[in-house]
Amino acid sequence: MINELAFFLGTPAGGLILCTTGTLLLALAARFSAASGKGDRLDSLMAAFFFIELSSAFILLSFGFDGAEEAESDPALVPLLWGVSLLICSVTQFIRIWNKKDYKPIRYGHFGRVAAVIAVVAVTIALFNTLGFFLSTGAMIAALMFLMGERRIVLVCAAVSLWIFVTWAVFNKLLLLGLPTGSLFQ
Amino acid sequence: MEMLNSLAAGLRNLAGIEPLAVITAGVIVGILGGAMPGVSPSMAVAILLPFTFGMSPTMGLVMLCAIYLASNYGGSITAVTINTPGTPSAVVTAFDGYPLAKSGRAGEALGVSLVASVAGGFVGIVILICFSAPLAKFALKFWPAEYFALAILGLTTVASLGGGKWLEALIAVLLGLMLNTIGLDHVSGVSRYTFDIIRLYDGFSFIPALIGLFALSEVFANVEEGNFKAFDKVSDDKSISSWPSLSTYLSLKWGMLRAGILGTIIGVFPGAGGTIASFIAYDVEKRLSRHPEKFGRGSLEGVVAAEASNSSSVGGALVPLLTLGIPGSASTAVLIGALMIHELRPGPELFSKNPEIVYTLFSSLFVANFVLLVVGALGSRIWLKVTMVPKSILYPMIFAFSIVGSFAVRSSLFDVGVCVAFGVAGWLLNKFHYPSSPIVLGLVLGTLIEMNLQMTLLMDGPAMLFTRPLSAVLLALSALSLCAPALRGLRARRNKKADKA
Amino acid sequence: MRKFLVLALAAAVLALSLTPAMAAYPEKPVKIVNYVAPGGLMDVTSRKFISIAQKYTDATFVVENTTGAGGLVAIGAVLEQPADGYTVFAATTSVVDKVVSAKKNIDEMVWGFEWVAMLMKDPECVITAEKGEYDTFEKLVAAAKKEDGRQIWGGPATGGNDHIFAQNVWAAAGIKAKWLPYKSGPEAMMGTLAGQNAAYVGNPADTQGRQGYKIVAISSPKRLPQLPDVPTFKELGYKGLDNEFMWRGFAIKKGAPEEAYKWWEELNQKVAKDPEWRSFLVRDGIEVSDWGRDKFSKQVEIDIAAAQRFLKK
Repeated sequence: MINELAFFLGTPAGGLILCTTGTLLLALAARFSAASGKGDRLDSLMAAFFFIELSSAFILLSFGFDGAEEAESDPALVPLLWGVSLLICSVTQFIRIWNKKDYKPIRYGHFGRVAAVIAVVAVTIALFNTLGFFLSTGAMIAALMFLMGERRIVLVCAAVSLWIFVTWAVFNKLLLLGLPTGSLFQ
Repeated sequence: MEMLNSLAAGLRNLAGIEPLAVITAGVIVGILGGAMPGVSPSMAVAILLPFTFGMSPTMGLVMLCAIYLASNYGGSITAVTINTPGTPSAVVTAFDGYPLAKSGRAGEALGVSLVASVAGGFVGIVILICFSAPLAKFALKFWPAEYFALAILGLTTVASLGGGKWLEALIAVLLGLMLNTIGLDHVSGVSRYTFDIIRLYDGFSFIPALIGLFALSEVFANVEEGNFKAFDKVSDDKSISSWPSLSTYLSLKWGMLRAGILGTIIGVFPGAGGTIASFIAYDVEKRLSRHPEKFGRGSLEGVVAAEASNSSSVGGALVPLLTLGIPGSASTAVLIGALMIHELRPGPELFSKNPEIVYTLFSSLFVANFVLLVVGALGSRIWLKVTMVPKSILYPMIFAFSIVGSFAVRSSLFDVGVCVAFGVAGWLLNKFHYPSSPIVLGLVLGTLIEMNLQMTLLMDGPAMLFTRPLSAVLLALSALSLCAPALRGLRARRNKKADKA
Repeated sequence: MRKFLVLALAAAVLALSLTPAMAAYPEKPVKIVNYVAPGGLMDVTSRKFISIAQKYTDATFVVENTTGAGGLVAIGAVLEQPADGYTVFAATTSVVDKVVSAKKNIDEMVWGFEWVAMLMKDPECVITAEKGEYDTFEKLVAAAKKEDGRQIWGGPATGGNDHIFAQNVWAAAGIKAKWLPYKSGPEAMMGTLAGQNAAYVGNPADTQGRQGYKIVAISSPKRLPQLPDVPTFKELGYKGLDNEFMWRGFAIKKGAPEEAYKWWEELNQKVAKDPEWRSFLVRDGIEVSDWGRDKFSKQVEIDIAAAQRFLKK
């Protein structure tokens, strides 16, 4: 029974279910911890809880490897070893933070800026195949430079052009390692 | 002294504009290729393989070896300046090289890494020439049980990577080990944790993960702190371009020798390469150092250990190639390919049928090391300028290079996504006080540990680990290495009590 | 008048659309995708093939390596490319076996290709350590029977063609043994030399240049002139192992222009006759082949059936 469940969770659909359940459990754990008065170290607690979830998921999934019965060696042995060890360690970590033993607070900075940078990079990757390598990375460099406070337009244009020229010369001409030119242009 | 005569003859083959030009070209390409994240030494050798078809087999081999040698050094350049190991073997160099650069001592880090690379390279070549036969016999004694024990020994070096936070370091290394099990199991072929994504069938591609974990996470952290002035404050200071003095180099000579010998020996074993060698050498040097607390914060000894060992592993990897015809690393596998295309057979037959090729090769390795020293010293002045580039230009460029590098490994967009994902993960983990270097250790050692354990179990069962003397010794060493810090702590407490009494 | 003009225009458009839209294939670089790392067997073969092919064509070739999962990643990558004939997959028997043993969709991953050019047939053989206890096949079999399933045979990977061949040998010889998969062929051979495994399954070329090995049996209808001391399985009295070989060849995604397929078939025929190419291969006991789609596809069918039989065990 647990084998079939584990196998199902190992499929893409199951993976999605795992992610959503994990997020829900995390939210619940956060609620519980805050209510128990550990609100000041909620973030560290949740990080440890995340590891608890991760290791449990690995352990659970290890019961559903397709083809494990016919194999001569046990493919679940080592993953279980690491998973169980991680579970033990993360539970220990969770308890230590709960009891405020050796706890160091987390510092936060310009989270928004980092999110913007990640978004720019993500968009670049998404547009890779349509706009092609040169255009998308060139645009990314310009966007990131603006984000990081660079306002000298000439410098931005120079950097982007230099980048496109150098990568085109090295990869497409010298190494013949084709970088995609984008479906928009084909 | 027949060997010296043969070496001299080999050296004579290299006297001339063409061979020197070939070696210099190889060194330059190797440094650039090694520095470029995403281009591993084996990739650099492979990409230039077609160019060698027009040359004689000897010259082709000479150039490829020069590239291989130089790329192991090249990786340290980006490791030091932008915390992006250009090659996997430069990971450990970044541990101390980058903090050195951040505190304005980039010149020292770059200088020491160059000299350590060259010194390690020399040690490796000397051992290769003089001891390849006994080393090969020793390598044959290494069965899967021994490989497993060696990998476990490598795993114990996690203790030196965590600083004071041993539980966080343990969690990190277990995370790396767990992530490494994603993919098709090598021994049984069973698919694990792949969610039917074909690109994951071999696990996460190592280089993109590495680039993300080191370079991108550092950039994210800096962006979060708005820390664009990190280097700029010392840009006017003359000390940033100060090269280490001769006495500094001399004070580090024993470290270079030890790490060089260790790196060569570990490089001999197929499957254990420069990366593993650098982790172990780093750990050894830390235990022997008078200032172990500096390791991880900017210790020149740490840089020396990393660079000397990964460069000497080149010599080590050539041992099984030349004695048994078996590649000791991915790059030597390409060299075998090059030999086969030129219709030469790698292995002991090469010594008997074409000794002049082998001895010219040995001599060329010496020459290449010299050329590396010269070219590297000249080039270092350029690399230093990188640390003075304004962050608003440097960081976008790092992203761009990371994307290119991750893509180039397998022409795969998925790998680019992996790189960014590891970057975000690394940034968040570091934020929550979990170190990222143990994750790399887990990723590097995971397959080695599992595959050799499974093979040992298939062969005779777990008892084999303890009945075979070599593996028992290595396992005992691992246990000792784990307990040592605890024992030291106990002794310190006992001494304190005795003092109080 | 107007009707005539319209008809003429239509005829002209029709004529234009029927002529090949572009110049002859290939007019841009052809990418050859290898599933092994640089220096691996098929990688070397592809590069050698290209350098010889340059005698017969001006085309530019680029070699790319997309490693992973014994070839599955490379197959996926090649099938994502447009079907224009400019992405060619460099395959060996192992890859087809891998698709079957990993239970992937055969229609998609094998028959999504046209198997245009088979370059060679490399006979399978059993190799042992020259100075070891099993310097003949009979000794190996006798020891296996005594150890009753504990004898170890080594080779690269699980489920590849070496593993399947080993299983066939065991069945024919009536023995049981354990298969120990190593990370690569050379590492497995090192294990044979060190005594970790009793026998290594591979091809004659594996022993070239390396000392200390002996080929104790080869799968071939007759003894090979290049290896006069190596007995065939037939001579040793074992049936059904006369023609086990590993092939290497090229495949192109289905749906590409017919001229691309034809071009490769013709190129293969020219290269197969080339003396330099032949001497490169023949000295290792390899049989050069110039098979095109018909015969190659039939061979792939045979291999799939063999792999499926192995899976059922």
